[in-house]
Formats: sequence, structure tokens, C-alpha cells
Amino acid sequence: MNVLKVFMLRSAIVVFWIAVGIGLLSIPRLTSWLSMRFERPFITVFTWGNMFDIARVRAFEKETGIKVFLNFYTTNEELHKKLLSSQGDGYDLIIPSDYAVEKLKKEGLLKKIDKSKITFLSHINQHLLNLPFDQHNEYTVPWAWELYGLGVNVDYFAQQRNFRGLNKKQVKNFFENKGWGALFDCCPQGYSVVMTSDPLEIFSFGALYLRNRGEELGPQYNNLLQLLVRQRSWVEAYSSFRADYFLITGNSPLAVTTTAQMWQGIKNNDAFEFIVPQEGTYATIENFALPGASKKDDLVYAFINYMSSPESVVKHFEKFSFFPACESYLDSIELDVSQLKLRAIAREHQQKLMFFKAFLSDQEKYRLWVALKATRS
Amino acid sequence: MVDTLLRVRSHMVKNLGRFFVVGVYAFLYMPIIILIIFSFNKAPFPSRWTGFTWQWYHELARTTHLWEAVMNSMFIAVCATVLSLIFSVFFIFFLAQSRRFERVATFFYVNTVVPEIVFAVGLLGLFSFLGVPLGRVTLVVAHTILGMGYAIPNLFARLSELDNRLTEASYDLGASAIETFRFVTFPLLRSSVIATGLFVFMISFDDFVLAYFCSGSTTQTLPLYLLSLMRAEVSPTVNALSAVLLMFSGSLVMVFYSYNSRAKLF
Amino acid sequence: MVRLMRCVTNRFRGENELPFFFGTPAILWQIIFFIVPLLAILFFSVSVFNSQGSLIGFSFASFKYFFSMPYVWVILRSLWLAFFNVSVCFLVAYPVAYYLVFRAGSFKPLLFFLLVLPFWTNFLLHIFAWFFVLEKEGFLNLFLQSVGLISKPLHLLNSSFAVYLMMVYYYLPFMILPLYAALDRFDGDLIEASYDLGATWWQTIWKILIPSTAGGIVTGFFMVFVPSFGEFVIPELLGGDKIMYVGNVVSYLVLGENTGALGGAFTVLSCLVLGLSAFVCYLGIVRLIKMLK
Repeated sequence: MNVLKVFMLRSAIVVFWIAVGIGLLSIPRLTSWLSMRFERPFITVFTWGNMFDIARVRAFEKETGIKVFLNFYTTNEELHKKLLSSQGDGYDLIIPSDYAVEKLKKEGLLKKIDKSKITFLSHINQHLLNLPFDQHNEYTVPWAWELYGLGVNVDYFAQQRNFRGLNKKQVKNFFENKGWGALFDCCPQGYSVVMTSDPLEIFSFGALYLRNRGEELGPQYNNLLQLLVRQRSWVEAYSSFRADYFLITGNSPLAVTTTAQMWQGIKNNDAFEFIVPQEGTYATIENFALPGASKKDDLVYAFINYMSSPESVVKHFEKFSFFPACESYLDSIELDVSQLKLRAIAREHQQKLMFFKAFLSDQEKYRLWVALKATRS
Repeated sequence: MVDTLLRVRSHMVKNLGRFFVVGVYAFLYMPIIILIIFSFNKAPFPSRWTGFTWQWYHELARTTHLWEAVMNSMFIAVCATVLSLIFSVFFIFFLAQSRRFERVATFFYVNTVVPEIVFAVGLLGLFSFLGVPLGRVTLVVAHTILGMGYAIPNLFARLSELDNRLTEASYDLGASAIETFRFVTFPLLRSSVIATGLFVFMISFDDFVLAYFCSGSTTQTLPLYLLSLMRAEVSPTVNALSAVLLMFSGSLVMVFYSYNSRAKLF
Repeated sequence: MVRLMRCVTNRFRGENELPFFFGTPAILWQIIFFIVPLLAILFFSVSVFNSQGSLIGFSFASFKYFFSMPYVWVILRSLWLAFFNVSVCFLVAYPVAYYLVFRAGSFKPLLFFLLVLPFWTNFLLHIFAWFFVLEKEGFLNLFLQSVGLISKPLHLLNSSFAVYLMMVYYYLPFMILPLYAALDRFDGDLIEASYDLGATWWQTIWKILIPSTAGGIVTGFFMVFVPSFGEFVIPELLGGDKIMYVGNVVSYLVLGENTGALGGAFTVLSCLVLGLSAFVCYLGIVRLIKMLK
């Protein structure tokens, strides 16, 4: 009898503490529910790290009284995973890239855009609309785009033996013609290259190189893997965001990078050039999209329209060097030399935009990625 | 003659020992000192000295993301420390009464031995199974486990060192278990509790692996913020930050030692 | 409710439920948030689910997947890194700890404080500090060039050298402190006695010091070996992200899409390897010390 009493008492104690624990764990839900009922309107934007200028966001908050919470992701895969796990709940606006839009659309995670609420539709660069990943732009509105290419330290190469006698412009032409071969052709004498850290990008560049030389990717992508493993011995680092750092510190004279990432570094520096390979390159467009579960459409449209106003677009262009979707707004300001250069590049390539395709399944991608980095060279 | 040779030899050996230890300490501190020196360098990258400037410190003060991350880290660390200490002190009370469970106290060491990455993976799975959104609370939970792993064995060691006769005397004088703990045992343990609390605070504040896996995308702690900075760029604002953090840590260590004169962590 | 509380507190002197009441939260917390997750990884790594999410059986298919070359190399590489780290740290730490305990004299508190300080500073800051030392135009290269030892900067960063160096740098205090604690408890007079009896310093070390500080050695071993095995930040930031170690693979699989289960399986596998090798090394150390006694 006594044992039973002790047992019941102990069970009661355990239950008590578990209840306390559950209470603790539900605090976040409680606070978010409370804040939703009593606080001012807000939206949660899930975006890239360097996409929106904080000053403009705060200005938007002040003007409209809508609070903006920014959360960041570094890859589209991360975006996809987070969206899946929360079923889109908790995010009101996302900024997926081109190939990610296709995937999200297929899985039904996006909501259709109400075009009547977009005020700047007529100003959007025509070449960015009606692209294969979202015909008729039912789900997305473009915000900014950038081109992939090679960041080259032309000063360094102009001093190399094989380039003796060439001036910088000729060095630039050389690299434009050599294209992706500059990265993959064996074997550079005494210098290293920097690749990005995204598996899809690296495999796409490799595949592009092979296809342009008429070679096959091989059964189970073996040729592609061999190419990349061989390349690894002259890769300085796999880093998506520090390409300009490697270039400027002289660690590596050649880096795969995008126009936006490169431009801050080469703005006033003659020693570096951004090369767009003649054989073709990839572009990436970041788009506004609404997750299916989003309920604050009006607030989100207000944000989108604000960010796409002329002053805002110009500000973002100056700060981050993305090519804006509303290209025509750039006509209204004085562009300096490097900005004109940037714009010229955009204009030259905007007709034939090529995007990454997820040509590898997830399993394949992981297998190859680990094989690339784990095999002995 | 042999005598002087032997003396010279032992002199050399002694100096060799000294040089070696100084060398090791130099090795341990050189990078940090260089880091702090370069926080005053004008150049934005690791390069030659181009001039003295406070600009990176000014920029540090202006980065809002950073301060949000610091606030998050502080909040999580404080919560984790408080919870760890509460659980640990409660558990110590339990141990003080039922000496049978002494082995369990040393069992808590496992919390610190298991590789954090393994623990983080497990927690991630548990949280997604329970449907708990990742964020500050989940991180507090994780850090509390870490904290208990340091606090319980430590406090238990202190408890065992206490003189039994004091508690026995208290019982003999008619105090209940709670009263004894409140008025006799705990005051004796108090300095250790504070010292352990400080230690747990720093463990939580600096923790990186658990935050990397268990904080979700909404919560940015200081180490995660540093990581995103280091992945994206190399800016001397981080140098300035490290100088500030070093001073912060240094002062905490000194406070720690004033509460715990014989620091026995192992 | 009040009656319940009184039941708990009232039977004081002797057996009552008060201790249990206070002891439970820690134990519960430990079970739910530590033991259950670990068991869960184990469980999920061998279980198979169908598309509805219900359990249909157990299999070691995930483990078989990892018995291919790249993954085996990853594990071996991590083992080697951990082993190298422990050895180098031990060889450097023991003399330092010895010096600190027996020869430092009045500097002892200061040196001890300087030793503990790195524990309290952020891990990532230490990594960042090494950028400034190892960079092409970093401190080390500039110094060597100014002294005239080299004419062109050395390529130190983004290499295995940088990774190994950083590992030793970071884990050295973890080895020094337990050894220091063990040596502190050791009676210094025994060394004097040993010399008086005619032993050389080599014999003194192996016959007296090492056996008596065995506890510290083992603690230091575990504190360095286990975390070194799971390290992933250092190879990524200082190694140029070119080579994957166990930690890199685990974080990549676990945080990636559709590979969470694989990540769990790989975690279990590497844990088994880690546990086994740690155990073997531990036995080795114990045997060695027994032989010396």
C-alpha cells in the first residue's frame, strides 16, 4: 500500500515537471500569438544576405508603419528546406532564384501574384519577363539579376611570360575567348583559381565546359567528376562570397564570381577585369514570390512596390551592384565610369539569358560533391 | 671543472625550459595580439601597416546586425545559465540527501564528452519530430544540457569536499532538510555556484556548433554572425570586435577567479 | 493540490519525497533532451520508412552506402587528424604543464590566468586571427621577408598545413589544463626522492611522473581526441573548403535536403569508429602505464 502511494506521488511529480517543461517550450508560440493580436502589422521577409538596404527598409517602416523582419539564407536549398518544414508558414515574402522558382512552383509552395497590385510592371526590363521558369510571370516578379563570369587580375597576367607583349585589353580578349577553359584546362603554371562553393554552380560550369568541347559527361557523370577532381589541385579555395578578397590580396589571380560580388572590388581598380566568357555563361535572377501560406498580401505588395520605386532601385544599384529589374530608372541618374561599364555588360547579355538547371538529382549531387572533396587528389 | 660544466649544463637546460614555455605562450597569444594590433590598421585586408585609425571601431558601433546577435547571445546565455544552475542546485540537493546516486553526478560528464555535432544532430531530429520551431528556446534547451554537464559534476565535487559535520550538526539542532540546505550547505557552495554559473555563461555565449544546427534561421547568435562575416568577407570590424570581446572575457575570467580561488575544473 | 504538496514535504526527517521532487527536473531534462535524441539517431539510422511515414522494417542499407571509398577516406582522415593532434598537443603540453607546476614560482598565477583566457574567448575569433598571421601579406610572411629568410611570400593559408596548425593551436590549452591539474596534485617531493635514489631524469619521467598523472593524461586525451574528430569549421575556413572531414560531411548531409536520414546514419557510423578508436587508445595508454609501473 505504501509502495503504491510512493509510486503515485512520484508519478505526480514527474507529470508536474513535464508540464512545466511543456509550458517553457510553448513560450515562443505564445509570444508570437500575443504579438500578432496586439502589435502593429508586420511582415517576415526571407531573403539573401545582401539584397536589401537596411536604411531603405527602415524608411519603409517609418513611412507605412509596417514592421519588417528580415531573415537570411545563403543558398536556395536552405530556402526550400525551411519552406518545406514550416509549410510556408511564418514567411510572407521570399526571394528565390530562377531554378528555385521552378522547384517551388512544382511543389505548390507559391501563391499567384496579383499583377494589378504591382505598380512598376511597365518599367520592368522586357528581357526579364516571361522566362521559361515562370511563363507569364504568374508567381514571380523579378527584382534583380547578375551574371556569372571570371574575375581576372589582368595586371598579374600581363606580367607573365606567356603574355609578354600583350597589353591589358589583349589579355582581356584572350580570356574572353578562352572562356571556362581558363579554369579547367590543365595545368596552370604557378597560379591558383577560386571556385564558388555551391555544388550546382560548380557542376554546371564543368558540364558547360565539357559540352562546349564536345565531350560527354560520362556514365554516372564520371567525366565531370574526374574533371573537377583534377581541377582541385589548383583550386585555392571554394568560396562563393570572398572572390574579390582573394583577388585583391593576390592569393589567386582568377576567380569565378558574379558581377555584383566583383563590382565592389574592381570599381576603382584597373588591375582587375570582369570577363564574360564568349562560349556562354549563366545568369541568375532573384524574384519576389509569395509563399502559399502567406496572409498579408497587401502589406507585402506595399513592400515590393516601395522597394521598386525609382530612388530605391537606384540606391540598391549603387550599393550592391545588381542589375535592377527596372532598368529604365537608371536613366535618371548620372552613372560613373564603372557603373556605365556594368550597365553595358548587362545590356549586352540580357537577350540571351541562360539559367542553371537542376540537372542532377539531390542524391547524385551529394554523391558527387562528397566524392569531389573527399577523394585523395 | 666537471662541477662547472654540470652547472652550465643544468643552467642551459633550465633556460631551455624557460624558452620553450615562453615560446608556447607566444604561439598561443601571437595571433590574438596581431589581430588586435591590426584592428587599428587602415588597410581593409591583412596587409602591411598603413596607418593608425579608429574607424573600424566606429563601424563596429554602427552595425546593427551585430548588436542584435550579441543581444540574442546574451539572452540565450543568461537563460541557459539560470536554468542550468537551477537544475544543478536542485539536483545537488537531491544528491545531498540520497547518497546512493553519486555515480549519476559523474554520469553528467557525458554531456561534455559527446561530440557536439552528434548531440546537435540528435536534438535537431527531436525538435522536428516534436514540431518545435527552431529558435531561441531550442538553443536555450541545448545549452542547458551543456551547462548541466559542467555544473553538476563540479558542484557535486565541491559538495563532497564539504565537512559532513556541519550538516550533521544542523540536523541535530532540529533543522529540516530544506532548512539545512538553505542555511548551511548552499552558503558554503555559493561561491562555487557563481563561478560555475560564469563558466556556463561563457560556454553558452561562445558556443558555435549547437547554434549552427539548432537555432534555425530566425535566431542569429554572435558566433553565427561571426561565421557569416568570415565566410562573406574579411573586414577589420571583426578585429575591433575581437578586441572588445577579449576584454570582456578577460574581465569575466578575473571575476571568476575571485569567486573560485582553487579552480578545479578537472 | 495542497494535500499533495503536504504529502511531499511533510514527512521530513528520513524518507520523504522532497529530494525526488528536486532531483527530477535535471534527470528528466537529461533524458528527454540528451538521451532520447541520441537514441533517436541510432534508431532512425537503421529503420526504414515507407512513403506514408510508417515504419516497415530495419536495414543497414545506409551503412552499406557509406562503405565506399570517399566516405572511408573521410573517416580515416579525421582519425588521423585527431590522432596527430593528440600526439603533438601531448608532447608540447606535458613540458609546459610541468614547468608551470614546478618551475614557475611567482609567475604561476599569471601564467595560469593566461592559459585559461583562451577558453573564454570565441573560437571563431581565434580562426580569424590566424587569417592575419598566415595570409600572403600577413604577419608571418611580412616578418620572414623583412628578416630575409624568404624572398617570395609562402602560401600558407587554404592548405592542410593551416588546418593542422590551427588544430594544435586551439586544442593545446585543452591538453595543458588537465595535465596541469594532475601534476598539481602530484607530490613534488617524489621527484626529489627519485633523483636522490640515483635515477636519471628520463627514468624519473617514465617511472614516476607519467604513471602518477595517468588520470590527467586520459582526461586530456579525451578532451582533444573527441572534438578534433568532429571538427568542421577549421577545414572549411582555413583549408579553403577543399577537403571534407567527418564534420563537414555530417553538417552537409544533415542540413541538406532529403539527406537528413543519411546524415544521421553517417553520424552513427563515425561515432562508432570514434568510440572504438578512443577505446583502443585508452586501453593502449592504460597498458603502457601498467607496464611502466
